[in-house]
Amino acid sequence: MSTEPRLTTQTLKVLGTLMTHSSDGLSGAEIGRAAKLQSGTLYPILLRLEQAGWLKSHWESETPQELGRPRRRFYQLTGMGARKAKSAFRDVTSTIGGLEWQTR
Amino acid sequence: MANALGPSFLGDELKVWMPWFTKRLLHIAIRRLPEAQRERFSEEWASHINEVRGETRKAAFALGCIFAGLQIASLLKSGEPVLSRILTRTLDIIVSAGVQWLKSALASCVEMHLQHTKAVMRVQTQGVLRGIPEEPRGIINELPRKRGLVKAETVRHGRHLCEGAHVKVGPTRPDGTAHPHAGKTGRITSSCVLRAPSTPGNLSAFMDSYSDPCWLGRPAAMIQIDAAVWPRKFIWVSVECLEALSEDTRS
Repeated sequence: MSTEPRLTTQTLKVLGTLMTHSSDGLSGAEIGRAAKLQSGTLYPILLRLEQAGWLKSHWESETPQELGRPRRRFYQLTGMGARKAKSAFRDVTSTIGGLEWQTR
Repeated sequence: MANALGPSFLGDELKVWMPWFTKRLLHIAIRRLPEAQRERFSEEWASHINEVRGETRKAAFALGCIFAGLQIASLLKSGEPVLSRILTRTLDIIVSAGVQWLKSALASCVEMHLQHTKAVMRVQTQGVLRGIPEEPRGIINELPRKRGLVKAETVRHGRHLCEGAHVKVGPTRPDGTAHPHAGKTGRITSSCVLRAPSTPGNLSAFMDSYSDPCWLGRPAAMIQIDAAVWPRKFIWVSVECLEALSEDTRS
């Protein structure tokens, strides 16, 4: 499934968080804290981005028995996701810049 | 003291109940999800909720998960293959059309029944027929049971045809065909508006027994035949086919 996700402010926040913190990926809780998004908003966005192929996700390598708690699921940007996110941010920045220029 | 104890008691209660409440909310949220996603999100949300501090925040998170569950379900549904969506939509339309048809059929049935009842009542209130409408039960030779002692009274060509009136069966039925009992004379024992039995099987048996469907739905009278030469002592005849005989013609 590769339909383009709608780039709302919240989606951009999620993408921004993943772009700045991306290494091994971030868990939903970490993304939520960094982007200041509630669960009701966050998880549909993550799933939508994942379905569009912008994100990929994986479980923690240890088992819940070893960890003594439920496993986290980590999200990270795919190559395509990173490119698209950069392009989206470029567009947004230029639009905001244009608006700023007009208001002066 | 009550003021001091009240909030503390409530706080303790909340502390006890909140984890259960959160768990229930999370369970509801997971139930909203499509089957294939339940396992994944139940573990993911359980791990997330572990990192949330405070019972109230945990409950708020779980509440948010319900909305997430609904959105995810709708998202995955809209992502179904086109054919599947078309089939689902078609099925929806068929089911809804079926329900509408059933509703209208039921409404028309009720309407028909009401109209029939109104017609009977109109006949009764106009004084044309004061008998208690009752579906005949049993065979022709049994007198129909009457619910009340209201005297049946009918008007035919300006003459009153009441119970006990002496009548003669006219030559034709209301549809213009020759009446099978033409010329027979007798007394009216009762009258009512006859209705056909509701089930087709009963209807067939009913027709066989009475052999004259002309009076179905019309005011009819049961006549006790004067000369019992006919194997049946009683016959049902439409009131329209009856001719009143003067008292002196009675045998």
